[in-house]
Amino acid sequence: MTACKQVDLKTLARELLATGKVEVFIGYQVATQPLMAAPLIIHTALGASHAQQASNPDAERDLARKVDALIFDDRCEMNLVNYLHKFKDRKVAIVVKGCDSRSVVGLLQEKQVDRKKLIIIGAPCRGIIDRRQAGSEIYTACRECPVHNPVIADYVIGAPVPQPETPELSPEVEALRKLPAEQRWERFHKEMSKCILCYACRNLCPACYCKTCFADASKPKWVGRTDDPSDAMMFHLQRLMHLGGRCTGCGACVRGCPMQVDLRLYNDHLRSHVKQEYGFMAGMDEVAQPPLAMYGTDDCNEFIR
Amino acid sequence: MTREIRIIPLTEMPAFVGALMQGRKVLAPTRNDDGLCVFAWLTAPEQADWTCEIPRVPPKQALLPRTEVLFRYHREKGKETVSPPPPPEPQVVLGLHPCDVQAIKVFDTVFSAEPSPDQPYLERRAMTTLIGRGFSEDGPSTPERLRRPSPLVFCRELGIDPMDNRDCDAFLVPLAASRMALEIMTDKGTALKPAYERFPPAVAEDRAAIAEARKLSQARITPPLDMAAIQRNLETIFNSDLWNRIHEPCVGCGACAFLCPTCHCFDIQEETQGLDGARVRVWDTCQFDLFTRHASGHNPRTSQKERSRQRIMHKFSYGVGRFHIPFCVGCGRCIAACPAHNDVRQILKEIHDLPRKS
Repeated sequence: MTACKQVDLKTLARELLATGKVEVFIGYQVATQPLMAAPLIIHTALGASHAQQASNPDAERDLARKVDALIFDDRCEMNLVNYLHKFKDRKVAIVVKGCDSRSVVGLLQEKQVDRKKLIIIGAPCRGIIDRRQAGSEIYTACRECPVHNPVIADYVIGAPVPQPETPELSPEVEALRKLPAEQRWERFHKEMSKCILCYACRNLCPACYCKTCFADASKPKWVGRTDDPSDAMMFHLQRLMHLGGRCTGCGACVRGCPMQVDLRLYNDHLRSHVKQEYGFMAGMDEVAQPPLAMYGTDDCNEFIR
Repeated sequence: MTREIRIIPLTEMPAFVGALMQGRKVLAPTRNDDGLCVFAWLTAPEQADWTCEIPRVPPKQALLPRTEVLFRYHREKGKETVSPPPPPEPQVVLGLHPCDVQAIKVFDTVFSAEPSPDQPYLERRAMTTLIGRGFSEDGPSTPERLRRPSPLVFCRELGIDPMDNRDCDAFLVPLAASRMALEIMTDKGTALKPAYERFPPAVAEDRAAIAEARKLSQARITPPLDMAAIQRNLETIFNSDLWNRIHEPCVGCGACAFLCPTCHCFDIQEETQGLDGARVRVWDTCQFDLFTRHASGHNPRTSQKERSRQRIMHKFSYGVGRFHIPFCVGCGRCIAACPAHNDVRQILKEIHDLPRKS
């Protein structure tokens, strides 16, 4: 992370919104349930310029109330970068953890966001409380996270946090890899049988932004919607293929799954393959070329030259 | 009216459930391998879990399966044969929270509505016996673990009493000393006699404890949500700016709808393999783009704003207007499952508190 200004979250939000530097501020607020934070999307008055807004005391009070509700702490689990797709043509400020910042880099590489219209507020993070374990632990993805400090930011809230040593590959995934094919299949079958095809994983993923997802195509229909596990398998395998070299391992899909499908097992496996084969980690460097999105005349494979 | 009451010690519940499983499929709250409470078809009586309150997966699969074969077909040159699916088997849905019972009432209302009652639904429903289960946080006979209900459940705010046994064929009430009272209310309930007749009838003391628990539960019903006001307001705010804000955090997945006990929208699809195929009914949701996409490609609900509005409108306005019953029972599953931590209670409050237009 390059050195940048350390600021107070609310002061910064107030200033960015008041001066019209941004039209939309995407951060977190306390959720209605314990141990959880919900997204908070603050607009300068809808459809009005910030100058008009200043003359409307009601809108001003509403804005001040929302800015005061902003938080950042170890409950802020959502990857807000997903919301950038909703505000493509707007000037946006967004709060990102280390993992989330990699999603921003991914979208910059894929030319999905305009850097000039985006203010990135980095939030150093020691890990998010795993609400499923009644608050006693941080999520596995956080325990194994290699970027506790954002890789890209215009402002930073809070001091950088120490980066613990992390395993190259999650021990659980490594163990799964060593199993014979039948047992790996059994596990895959079991995970996929939990899936109810609600698509929360896809809809939470910042890297999933196809205008028409293959799963939503109806002419022809690629993926069925029955409770036969083969339908869930088709959906997840295709989605995994699309995420090859693009998944940053933020864990949004795993945390958001209402049925607790452990997609991490497969995402991690995929990421480690990309790292082994291409020495590439998604979302680390804005100017790097993602291996599955580039072509070189010196490619080692003859078929592609 | 309660016809009779039997007392079953918790240690004997597997025997009772096992007897229910004789010749019937039984759907009951169980814990899956992840420790998550879900309604699932039992394969062994011990799987029924009495520590579950509102299982993440609702019981709707008993009446509206995730995948339902409407008919199968075989095509050959110049000849098509169509075969109906096997008739539904007798089934028991066990351990229903009264709000889930209310949700089945919503299903019954919608799927029996003229002019097109849903035959596959009604046939399955006729083969279904509902055994509810009471939840009471106070009362002398309440076991300790039931004294703190889930903070997400707001069925009382919708006027649903967690001790209400109406609309069930039989009903379980937890009693002190690790026992369950089984109340029998209907012919379908009485038909379970071979499963419960070996258990002793309730004595006066048990009956008094059940009555006391009911009285205390009813005293807690103070519906602060004025559903009529909510519906009135919804009728006037179709074009309100409110929807611009409400939809924004929503990511447009189907978690809320698929885990909702009252959401019942479906799609009809073809599952074909070679010359054989089946027409199947599968769950669908108004939160998906594909839900309203026309064959022409045109989609009248172009964004999440329209889809989020539809969800609230259908539950709290259209359903009430046409069937006089809200399509929400306050189970709180959507709040627990929402990956964006949206809370329908907040949305309802906001709609309720809107300034009245003259």
